[in-house]
Order: sequence, then C-alpha cells, then structure tokens
Amino acid sequence: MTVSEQKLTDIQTPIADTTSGGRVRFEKERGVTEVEVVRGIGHVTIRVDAEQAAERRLELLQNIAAAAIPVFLVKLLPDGMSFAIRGGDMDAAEELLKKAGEEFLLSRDLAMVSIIAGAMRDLSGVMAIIYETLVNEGILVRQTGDAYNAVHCLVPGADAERAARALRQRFDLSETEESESTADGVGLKSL
Amino acid sequence: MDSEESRSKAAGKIVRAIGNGWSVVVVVSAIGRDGAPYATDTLVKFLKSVDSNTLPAAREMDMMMACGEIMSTVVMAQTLRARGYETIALTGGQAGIATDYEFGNARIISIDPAYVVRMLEVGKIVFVAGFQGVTEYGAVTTLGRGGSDTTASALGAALKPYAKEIAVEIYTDVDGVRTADPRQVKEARRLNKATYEEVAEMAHLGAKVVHPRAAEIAHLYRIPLWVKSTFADAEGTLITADEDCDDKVQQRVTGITHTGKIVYLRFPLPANGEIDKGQVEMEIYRILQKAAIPLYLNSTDGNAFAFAVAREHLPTLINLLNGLAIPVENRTNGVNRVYLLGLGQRNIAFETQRILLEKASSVLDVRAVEAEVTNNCTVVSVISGRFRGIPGVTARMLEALARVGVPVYQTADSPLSVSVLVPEEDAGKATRALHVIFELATEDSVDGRT
Repeated sequence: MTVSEQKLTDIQTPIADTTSGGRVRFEKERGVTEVEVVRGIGHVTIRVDAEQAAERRLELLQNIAAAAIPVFLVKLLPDGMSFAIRGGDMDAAEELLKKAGEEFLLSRDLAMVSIIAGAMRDLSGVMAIIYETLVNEGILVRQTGDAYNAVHCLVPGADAERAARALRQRFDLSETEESESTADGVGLKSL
Repeated sequence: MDSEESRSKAAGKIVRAIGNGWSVVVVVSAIGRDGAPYATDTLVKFLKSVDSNTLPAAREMDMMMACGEIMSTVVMAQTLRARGYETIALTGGQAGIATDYEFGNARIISIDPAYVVRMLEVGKIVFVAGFQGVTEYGAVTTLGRGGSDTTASALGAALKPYAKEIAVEIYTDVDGVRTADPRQVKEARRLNKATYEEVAEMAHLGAKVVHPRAAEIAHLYRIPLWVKSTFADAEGTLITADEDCDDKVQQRVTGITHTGKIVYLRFPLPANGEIDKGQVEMEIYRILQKAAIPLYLNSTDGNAFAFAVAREHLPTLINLLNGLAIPVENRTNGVNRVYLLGLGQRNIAFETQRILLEKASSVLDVRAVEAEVTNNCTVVSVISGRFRGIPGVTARMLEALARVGVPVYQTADSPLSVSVLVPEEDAGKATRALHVIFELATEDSVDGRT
C-alpha cells in the first residue's frame, strides 16, 4: 500500500463508516440480523417407486432443467424428491409433471421466511428458536433449508407475515430489519 | 515462520514490495506447529498442565494464545531489521484493534490506525501480531479461527482512507484459490479472479483458502484481496467485487469443495405423525442447542425430518437422544402421545425407557421413532458466483456421480452453491467427477481474465 501524503490532521472524513475520532467500525453483528419474506412460492413433492428413486429423480431433474424451470430447496426423499419453485413457473412445472405421469403434490401460495445471520454455522440454537416460535404460533413448516448465512422456512403464504413478526420479536429485531419481496423479483437460481 | 527458509522467503516479498514503492504493514501468524516449544498448542498445553482439574479462565487463555503471534511478529521484525530496515513490532492492541468481550472468538468492533499510520509516515515497516485485539479495558482477546486473515483484511480496511492505493495480500502454502483441492484433483487450476462471495462460500463449505470473515470485511470495504504463495512467485488469485469481474467470471462454476466427516440423521415418525412432527423437531433442536451442537442440511418431509451434524458430535448425540421420550401436547385434550427415540443400536437407556412407558400404555400412546443414521458422510459442493446462467446444475451433479457409482444421500442449495451428501470415502471420486463434468480443468471455462 502507499500511504497518503496527507498528515493525520489533514485527513478528511474516511470512506468507510466511522465513529468519532476516525475509528472504523467492522464485522457484522453476531447473531440473527434480519428476517426476510419472499412470497409467491410453490412446493412440489413427487413420489416414485422407491427402488427406482435414484434413476427417476435424475430423469425428472433433467426434464425440469431442459424446460428451463428454476428450482430450489431441492430435497431427496427415500421415495421421491421435493423442491420449491417460483409462482410464475408453477403452471409449467405442473404440466411437465402431468405429462410425465408422475404422482405429485403441488402446493401454491407459500412463502419463504429466511432468518439471516452473519455466521449462521457458528450459532447454535437458531433452529430451536425458529421451531419454538413457529410451533407456538401454530404455523406449519413445509420445508427448511440452510446456508452459511441463513435458515429458510417454507410456510403457508397466509401465515408468512405472522411468522416473520413472531421471529423478529423472538430475535429482538426492530421493524426496520424486515424486508419482503415476491419470488419472481428475486434472483433465484436455475438448477 | 519457524524456519529460516520461510522467514527469508517472506522477507524477500516484503523487500520487493518496498522496492515497488509500497509502504508495508505485515500481519504475522503464529510460529511453529504442535510440539515446537513456542507453538500455540504447546503454550496452551503448558497452561493446562498447571492443574488438569481446573480449566484456565477464558481471559487468561486468550493471553496465552496471543503469545505465539507476538513472538513471530517480533522475530519477523528482527529479520528485516537485520537486513537494515527500520521496523516496529506491534501487538493487535497496539495497532488499535478493539474487540468485544468474546474471549476465544472475539469480533473486531473498531480499529484506530493512527499509530500504524504514524509509523509508516516515519518510514518503518510495521509488523502486527495477527489473531488478536484488546477490549476497551485492555484485556487481550483472540479472534478465533482465521484470525490472522481477519486482522489483515481489517487493517487494510482501516488504512484505506489514508492511502492512495491499497491491497491486502495473504500468503499461504498454495499459489492461490484453486478449482478444487489439488491433493484430490491434480488438474485443479488456479483462478486468476474470484469474487468475495464465491470465496466466502467456498470457505464455509470446506475450502481452506481465506477465512470467510476476512473475505466479508474485504467485501464490505472493497479491499482488493490477493491469495499468493509464500514459496513461489506466481501471480496468485485476486478476490474482488462481483461487479469488477466480467460475465465469464460471474457465470462460471468456480470450484468444488468438500467438508469434513458428517453424520446424517433422519427421523421418520410413525404413520399420522405429521401433526406432531413440529413439536418433536422443536424438542430435539432444543436439546441440541443446550449441547451447543450446530446442525445443517435440514429438511422436512411429510412425517419425517432430517439434519446433519459433524461426526465428532455423534457420541454426544447418541447419549442425548437414545431413549429420549418426547411428550407431545394434544391441544384438544392434553398430552396423550409420547415419542420414544432410538438411534442405531438400542442401548440400556432406550430399553429402560420403553419398559417404563409400556406400564403407562393405558393412558399414553407410545410411538417409537427409529432414527436412520448414515455415518461417515461428507458434503461435496459446487460453487458458482451466479447460478442463474447455468441450468441443470443439480441434474448434472447427480448424473456425474451416478456415472462413477457415488450414492447421493441428500442435496442442499443456496444462491451460490449446490451441495450433495455422499460417503466420506467417495469424496475424492466425487470431487474429480464433478471437476470433469463442469470442465474446470479447461482454462477457458475457468479464467475470468479481463
């Protein structure tokens, strides 16, 4: 690095966030920092012959990819698989599965409630708090997923606001930490 | 830093940077491996040997753990002083690094770089002990895993306002970020560029490159981060913002990683158990919380749920859950169902509980849950900066693994990665198969030269 020719007393306000005295604040807060809601999600569960599950799952995923239908929260089941899809893709997915002759269940009008934390895998107990909160609210969790910075819960759309509010309260988050969007506006990846 | 050869290599890089017109701040990690007289592990063992029945206080443990970095910092400063350079060695606290009170895993609250800047202005090479800081009352704290990387990144951010140009270079025993572990895939290529998010995701999913905390700080403050080899002069890998990379970098598959040993547990409740599943899950997660056992790869389906834990936690998990009786509240007419958990081989706890509960079978509906335990797994992951332009990743992964006979127990996905749970013994085979199917050995598909 090259040091600026300015002396310390001449330094203007630094680029980074500062407190008084020129100090810089760092590192994300520990713990849960945000609860996000993405609406307009569908969930598909497909059942196949357990003995051919591996082959049928692969074929289905290949067909879904060929149809350019993005899926996420993909989970393998002993006798099938499940995945989530955006609202705009539900009809296409339903048609594809009907044509394939698969036994499936498509649930519409779900929402993904995501609990965000800087280093989720360093925290223990987040799942316990999430389940305590949602069970006490009588909210059914259709599917869960986790990443290094988040835990995701798929819940009925009608319960999403209540779930998010209860979780924000439980994690001591203010109302300014909330954010909502719809699935079609979110960068959900294509698988 | 414990050999003259490695110190000499490091000194050469410092001297070269100075020759190129840079002012240099060097963050130094601990010296020596376990067994060496001044290695951190040796110092900790020494401390604990005072009384094996009394654990050292966390505060004092941090003071001892910080010694390794302080020693190596002084040694490196002396190495350059012996070559005729003006140097100064600073502890983390002396460099202005202030942390919270979480001894052993402290987070940096703020950095006041005034003294470091003053020393650079008078022409000194500044050596700062990594992995540490101080609380507001001066207690020494250590920063947890990846602490030296974090220190370097944070100091870079703190010094950025005072510099015309800044870069943080992390020197390791590899020549940069690679597309896979080169010990498993000899064709693994070095990436010229990677984004902060990709590197953080790779690190979280098992790659030992740059600690994700360091990548997150660099991302937050837009600090160019280089990963280079201490022992070679290769260009290294530049870690930078997504918008500073061209489309080719943004839309590619970046690399393959794998974690350590995992155990996967699936709890299928008996028929019609779906209504109780939430409460049963909740109680199990509460118990894991009390035991401070992190879990991941969560999933739920009908009347079953599943998760994974690190293999080291399995004995504790078995002790906690085998024979556990979970009452489930029936909100209509009070508690009348109990779920009895069994994990693998039934033990005395399970059998005792079963017999006791049988006596109450006239008033309790006792339901056994036999957990399916899949031991010795690992998570192999495909990382991409943006999956949006790459269709069918999961399908291609399953196809590639089926072709080489690797069974897949479960999958997981995030905006930056798709992971599969496979037998730990197949980690190398799985990594190589995925490296091939995503053409990561091909330069055109990997390099994002701009």
